[in-house]
Amino acid sequence: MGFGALHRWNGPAAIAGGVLWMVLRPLVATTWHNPNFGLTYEDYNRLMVAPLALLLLGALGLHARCAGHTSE
Amino acid sequence: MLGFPLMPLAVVVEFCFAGGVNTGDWTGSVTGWLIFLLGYTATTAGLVVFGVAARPGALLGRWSALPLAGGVVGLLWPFLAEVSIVLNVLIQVLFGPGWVALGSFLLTQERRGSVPERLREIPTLGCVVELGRPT
Repeated sequence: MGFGALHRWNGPAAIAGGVLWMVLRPLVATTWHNPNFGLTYEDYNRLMVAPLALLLLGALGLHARCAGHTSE
Repeated sequence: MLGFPLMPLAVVVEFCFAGGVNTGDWTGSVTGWLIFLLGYTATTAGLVVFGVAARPGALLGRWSALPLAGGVVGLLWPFLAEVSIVLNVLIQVLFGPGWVALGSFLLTQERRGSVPERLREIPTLGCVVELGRPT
């Protein structure tokens, strides 16, 4: 993936990751031994890979900008 | 920044490969959990450093207090989580708005098609100290 694509998607990725985080973390925190909405603690934690990957993309974008890489 | 990639890696190790400490392989799950704690501690400590080094309003505008707040509360999470489930949930949710703010900032910069000079001065998170220097 080029820096152009990284620049284009890191903002939306960070926003989507942050929103997903806010939705999933409370569910992770409250399902240790009590499944919620049919999903277990393990299921919600597996879903947490998605927001974490999105947030990582956002962090990489910030890092690339800080390093002076432009979208051109 | 260096600690953050450990968090998704830990979740994959603990829950996708080992299956979780409740129902899966105990050793693999604990290994994943330890990786997560290492990444989590490094990330929250990094947020505190970032929040202290960055001038108020310099990078994220009105959201500038979020990295420091998120970092401090994040570091206190293991202790505060024991107090009550509500506090535990609130602390974990607080990590999200900071990322939304960062995403909004990055999106704004992308639309403007420019990178602020002060951002160019931060090649790594360690160099965020540059951000705190008076101009």
